[in-house]
Amino acid sequence: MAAISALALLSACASVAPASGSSAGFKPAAQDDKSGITVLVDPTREAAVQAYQKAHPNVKVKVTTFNGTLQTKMSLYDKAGSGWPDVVFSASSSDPTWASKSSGSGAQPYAAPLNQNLIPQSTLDGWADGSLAPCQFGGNLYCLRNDIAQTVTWYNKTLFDQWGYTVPKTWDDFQALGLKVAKEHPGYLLGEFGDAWGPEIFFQASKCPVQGTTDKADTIKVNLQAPECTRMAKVIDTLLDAGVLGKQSYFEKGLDGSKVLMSVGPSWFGQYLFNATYKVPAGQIGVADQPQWDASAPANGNVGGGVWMVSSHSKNLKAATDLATWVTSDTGFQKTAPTYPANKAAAAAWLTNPANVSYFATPVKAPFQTAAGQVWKGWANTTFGDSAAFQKVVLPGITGGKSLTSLLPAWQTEIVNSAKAAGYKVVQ
Amino acid sequence: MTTAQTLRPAQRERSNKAGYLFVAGYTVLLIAFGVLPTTYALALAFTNDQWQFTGFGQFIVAVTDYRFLQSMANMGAFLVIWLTATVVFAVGLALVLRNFVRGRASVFWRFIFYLPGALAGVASTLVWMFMLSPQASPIAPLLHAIGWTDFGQVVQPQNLPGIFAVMAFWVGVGGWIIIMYGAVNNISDDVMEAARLDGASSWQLAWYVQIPMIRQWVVYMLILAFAGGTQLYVEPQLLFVASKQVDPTWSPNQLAVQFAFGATSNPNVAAALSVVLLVVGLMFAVVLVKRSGMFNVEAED
Amino acid sequence: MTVTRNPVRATESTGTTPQVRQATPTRGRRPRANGWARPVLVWLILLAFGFFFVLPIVWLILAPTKTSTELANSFPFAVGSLGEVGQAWQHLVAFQNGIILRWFGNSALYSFGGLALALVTSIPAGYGLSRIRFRGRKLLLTITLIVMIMPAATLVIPMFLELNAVKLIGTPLALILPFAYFPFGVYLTYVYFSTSLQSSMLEAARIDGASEFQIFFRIAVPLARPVIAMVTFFSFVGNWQNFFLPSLVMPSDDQQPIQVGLSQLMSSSPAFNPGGTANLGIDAPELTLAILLSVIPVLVLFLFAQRSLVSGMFSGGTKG
Repeated sequence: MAAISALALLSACASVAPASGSSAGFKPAAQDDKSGITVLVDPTREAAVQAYQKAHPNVKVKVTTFNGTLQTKMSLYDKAGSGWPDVVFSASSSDPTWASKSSGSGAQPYAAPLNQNLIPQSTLDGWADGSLAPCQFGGNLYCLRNDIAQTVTWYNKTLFDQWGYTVPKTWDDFQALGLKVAKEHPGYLLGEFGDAWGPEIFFQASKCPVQGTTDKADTIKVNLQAPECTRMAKVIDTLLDAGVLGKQSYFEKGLDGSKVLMSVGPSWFGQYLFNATYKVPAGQIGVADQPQWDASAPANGNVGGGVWMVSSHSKNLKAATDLATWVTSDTGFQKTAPTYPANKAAAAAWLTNPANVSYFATPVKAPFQTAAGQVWKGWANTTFGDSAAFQKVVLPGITGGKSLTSLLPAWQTEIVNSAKAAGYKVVQ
Repeated sequence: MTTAQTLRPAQRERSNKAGYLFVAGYTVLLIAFGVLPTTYALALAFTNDQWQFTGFGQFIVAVTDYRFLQSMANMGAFLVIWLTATVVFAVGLALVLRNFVRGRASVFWRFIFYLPGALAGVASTLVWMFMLSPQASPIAPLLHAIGWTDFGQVVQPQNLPGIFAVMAFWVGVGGWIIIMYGAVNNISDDVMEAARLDGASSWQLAWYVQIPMIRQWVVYMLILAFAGGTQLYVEPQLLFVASKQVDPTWSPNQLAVQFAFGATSNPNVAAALSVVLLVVGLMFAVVLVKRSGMFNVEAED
Repeated sequence: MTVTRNPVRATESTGTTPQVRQATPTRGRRPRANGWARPVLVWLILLAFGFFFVLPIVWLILAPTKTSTELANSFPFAVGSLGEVGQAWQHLVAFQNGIILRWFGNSALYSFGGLALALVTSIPAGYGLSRIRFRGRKLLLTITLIVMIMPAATLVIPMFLELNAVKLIGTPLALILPFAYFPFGVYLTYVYFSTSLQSSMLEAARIDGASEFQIFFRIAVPLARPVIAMVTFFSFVGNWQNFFLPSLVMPSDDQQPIQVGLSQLMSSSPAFNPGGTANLGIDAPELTLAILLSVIPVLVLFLFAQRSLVSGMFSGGTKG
């Protein structure tokens, strides 16, 4: 007892929290228009950088692929004081949240504010409404959105027609369809639940406050027992039990893609998953609006949608910004991208690309545009990763045979703990 | 004789200065990478980023972090399994080799057991990830029989201490077998003869004669293995990157890295955690050393 | 480590080379008296453990010879074709413009650099501690023993911050210098010189007027081949296999050693990382080839050092 109070006394000396690094203003480094630039991307985006290099042979571009935790890597560079890549791609649209702030000890925030004399506003206006929201902090824009990953319903039209199924318009219909498929065609799936983006697909679309926004930037709302959450968990549990919602990842090695009868998933599933990965023949996959709880107040999820950030420490901001702008808005390149572009002109080109038009069995334009406008804005972008808690608590639990409903309290605890450790206040 | 005596003070003085030169390089490195990091860690652990004294504040932050207890429990579970297996099998296999195998065969087996040590670190972790992946593993039928049909089921939280223990065991026990073998080998033959003449069976020989006589070596092994085990980092880190279903702060070292480079980077808390781990390791060693009376560092000749 | 029970000393106390043990009548008698069960049991145990230790390595050696479908479906120990190895190598080198070669080069630089410095500092230090009397000798020895049992990984983060403060992060010295710090090597050398040199020899040389350096270089070093070999072995292997420290002090890809590079290859590969694209060409065969290549230098060293390691110093000389 005495020891503890002595400890408490001793710890009353000075505050242990690191002095909140002021968002040090943006001081560009000495510029050199001729110097080469380094680009850090994930494996999927390497093609984009190579396309840029091909179109711009006089710019020296060095590309590195990285698939780990970007925030840790940037933190290491911050501590070392050098070595930052000039351009970075992140598949997580919440990365700009930390990149726009100092990582501590007076370090300059990694992301450069693009609206400050780097990209003209007229160019920035070319992005779809709301798509740049994850990039906007304190009145500045810290990234360019690569693609919108709004959720839609993907389905195998050929099989649906063959078996007389209709695309479900409500989640209750979705559940009913699932049970029907389990009985009539066991082995076919209405989706896989083993990926990190379960929360965004199902819970964001259900308006569940997994990390809900509040009117204060440093406070989030977490309440997984809210009816918006439990109703979704129930549907998921029912379908998991019936075996018609799988527990694996969509990209699990050896998965038979032809058994995925339907999938509520992001817009990039179309080309990237069904065509490139599952190799489903053209003309089979259709697109429709995703199921809704309430048709009068629809909401969709948003699975990532990558962002490109430019380093505030770059010695060649001109080239770096040019690359970031090109890869996100060049219609020639983006129309072939596997993802649906966030830039309006690029999106239009994507929709008219014959390759895209001919692959899908139904027109994609309407469902994509509807969904893009319906993404639920109540999902906060946080400095801590949105899927970390889900991956740590829920995925192992589901693999281990537990129900999602039973995991909700543990999941909530983990989110609350991560939020608090990251400096957020949490309300219910 | 008198010449030697009269020479001695001068020689000793010359020996002194030369001695400093011999150890100079190492001492510089020892200070730079042994002493300084320790004092730097201690300094950081008791201050904040403005270098103000914070008492035990950083320690409290580290220890009350919601991930601390779990990571220590994980490390504890791993250590129990792995240390037990290492002690039992290093001593056991050394005894089997010493008592029943001789000559070239003995050398052959010791080399076989030691061979995995060449893969220590990333290589062995990756190899074992392949071994445990129900898609690619050569023992896939066995894995399926246990009910593991995909990698996610293999890396369930309750399996992890055992999995990491197997990895660490595979890589490390060979070296200890060789050392234990050397220790057993040096038990004087007279003692062994006497015991045999008294009618001891091989089992009694091992249990009552050989094992007690290598007690000091077993303690040595426990201390070094414990120190090594608390450094668990590569294995859980790679498993996290690969499967994404493993706790990213499974081991305390991973947690320290998170403290230092994570979303709310705070090197002082990371240092406090490092100090805690250091103290744990040293305490374990001190306890063992005291109980076995080792470290009687005597001057030579 | 107790000095009074040092097995190396034990063999040395006679002052002559230890007797070579032959199979004596007493040793041969036991097993036969117990029938055939005992040897069979022994062989079963040894075989079981032998398989446990060796099979993964055999699998690793054979894996790059197959394509990834073959790896998944065919008999694990079937031998594929060498052509597949060539293909896998092509893919590896194509990854990020041959960065894998850079990684190997870095590993070599850091490992050999650290080794060279370690030898230059540890061997003289061990000799000085064991054979020269000077003030502070016992203190230095005690500190060395203490740091040897300290878990080194707990000091990695303070070491990073320390190296960062002197702006060495990202330079080769950030690894070479920490690698040169090798208290275990000092300890090995200390034990060796304490037990394998005759004090009378050194005293005689001193009386003759030789300087300590002359004694060291002319008498001690020529006799020190075994311990130099051991220090080389442990230092190089430890440096080559190190992951934690390099992963922090070398943030850029092209400064990283192969161990950190391997983890990058793995995370860019669909072999373990669902969602990682397959179009980078790094699948299981490429990954296993990279692992195998990263292990070969150490394996070669193991084979060379096998005799002295396994049957040498630690095993108490040539007994058994």
